[in-house]
Amino acid sequence: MNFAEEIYYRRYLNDIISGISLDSSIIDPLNIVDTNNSNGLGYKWIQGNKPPGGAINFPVDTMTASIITSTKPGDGQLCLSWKISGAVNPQTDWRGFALPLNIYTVCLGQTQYIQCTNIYTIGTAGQGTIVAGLAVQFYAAAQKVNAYVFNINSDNHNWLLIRYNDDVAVTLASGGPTADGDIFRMTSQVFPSQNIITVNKNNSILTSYTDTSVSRLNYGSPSLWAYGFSGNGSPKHEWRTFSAGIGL
Amino acid sequence: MTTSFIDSLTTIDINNSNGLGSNWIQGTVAPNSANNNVNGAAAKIAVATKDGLNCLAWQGFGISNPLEVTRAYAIPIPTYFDVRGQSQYVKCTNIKLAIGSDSSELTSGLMVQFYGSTNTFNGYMFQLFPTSGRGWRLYRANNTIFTLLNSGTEGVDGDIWKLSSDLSNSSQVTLIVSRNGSTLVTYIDTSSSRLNYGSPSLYCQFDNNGAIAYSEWRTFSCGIGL
Repeated sequence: MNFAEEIYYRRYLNDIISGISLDSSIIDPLNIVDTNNSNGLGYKWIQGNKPPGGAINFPVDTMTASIITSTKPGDGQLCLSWKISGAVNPQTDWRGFALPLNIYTVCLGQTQYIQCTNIYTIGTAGQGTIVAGLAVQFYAAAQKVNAYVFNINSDNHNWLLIRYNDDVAVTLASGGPTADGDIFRMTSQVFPSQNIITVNKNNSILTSYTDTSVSRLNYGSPSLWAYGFSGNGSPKHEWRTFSAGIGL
Repeated sequence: MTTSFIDSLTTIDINNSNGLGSNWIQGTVAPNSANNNVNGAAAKIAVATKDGLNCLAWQGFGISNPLEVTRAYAIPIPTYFDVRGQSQYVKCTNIKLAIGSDSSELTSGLMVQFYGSTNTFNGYMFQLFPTSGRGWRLYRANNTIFTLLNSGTEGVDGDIWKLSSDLSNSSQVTLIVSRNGSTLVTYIDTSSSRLNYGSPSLYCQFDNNGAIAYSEWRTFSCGIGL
């Protein structure tokens, strides 16, 4: 039994013993309209924005997520789509998150994964941008952003791997471009002295970063993530076929 | 099942000093319109300016005369799935509420049937605001459209507030606000817009200007029942 498996089984057995009815994984196709409210993602999800740290310069932009029909030509299926609200040429952009709640407590600080398919990303530089993707060890209890984030820029499909500590961003890796339809899986393998962040694209390693810094994060859970800048265009960032949970 | 939750709101988050503890999630619901200059609020466990003990303190940020305020939530997770859509209550002590030196204010309080899954604001909220002494409002929010259900002027620092939603009658939602154990107001919502699919939460918005305002809370509980 390896380290990740040991953590998984310890948590699973603890859950049984304590009687807590929480899940250690979630699968969501992200193509089902919320039966409670058509503006929702389904009752297993919570979404919101985190204001950035430091002074806020106005105007600002915020993010929202919806289950709507994909704008990808020829697709026509429902998906999770990010949208920007706010001004053209904002001075501050708030960070949006969409977090699966059923695994939140179980996954906190554990070795964890998140996987989703980026079905469509498009935009034109200077005419509005959405930067969206996956996060692990995202700690939504805090005022500010604390997470490892893998995101794709709608201007050019380039990607960044970033660690946020109280909204202070440190770029860990970068590359690109990605392509529509790519399946991304991000994992955080937690060890006592390091955290190995790995991003797979279509089942092959895209990047892996071993974080041994004192700022490494090991107390959050998986989440979707986005921010953006309004412009005169209509950037798109659409996702489908989501899964997340404990393990790799 | 986890049908109730208690938090003193006095314990510093061991993971992150800007947090509320791992049982909580906080965020801001994006404004309905595309206004440029918005104000926001966020919470942390900090020393109360009232009495020097720890508390949940809302903090506002923004500018003078914002075009729009955003609504912030702090929601307890342990009870979310088992309490959601049930008859439910939320209770907390407002230890201090005061305007800032330039009349900025934090309007804050309790919510039931709050549904954080949406990109709009949905929930019943009981708000306390410090302008002109003390006041309160009871709202229903449907997709960020706010309907005032009742209002008044009662309240002082130290009041214990409780908001409950009774869903036992399927054709209505009965909201009860109590202050220090006595019913302050009861509202029976029979509209087609009544809400019955959310969970308890704390709430805050920041209005006006940029100075420090005060909204400090302690001794939280919520759960199934009234």
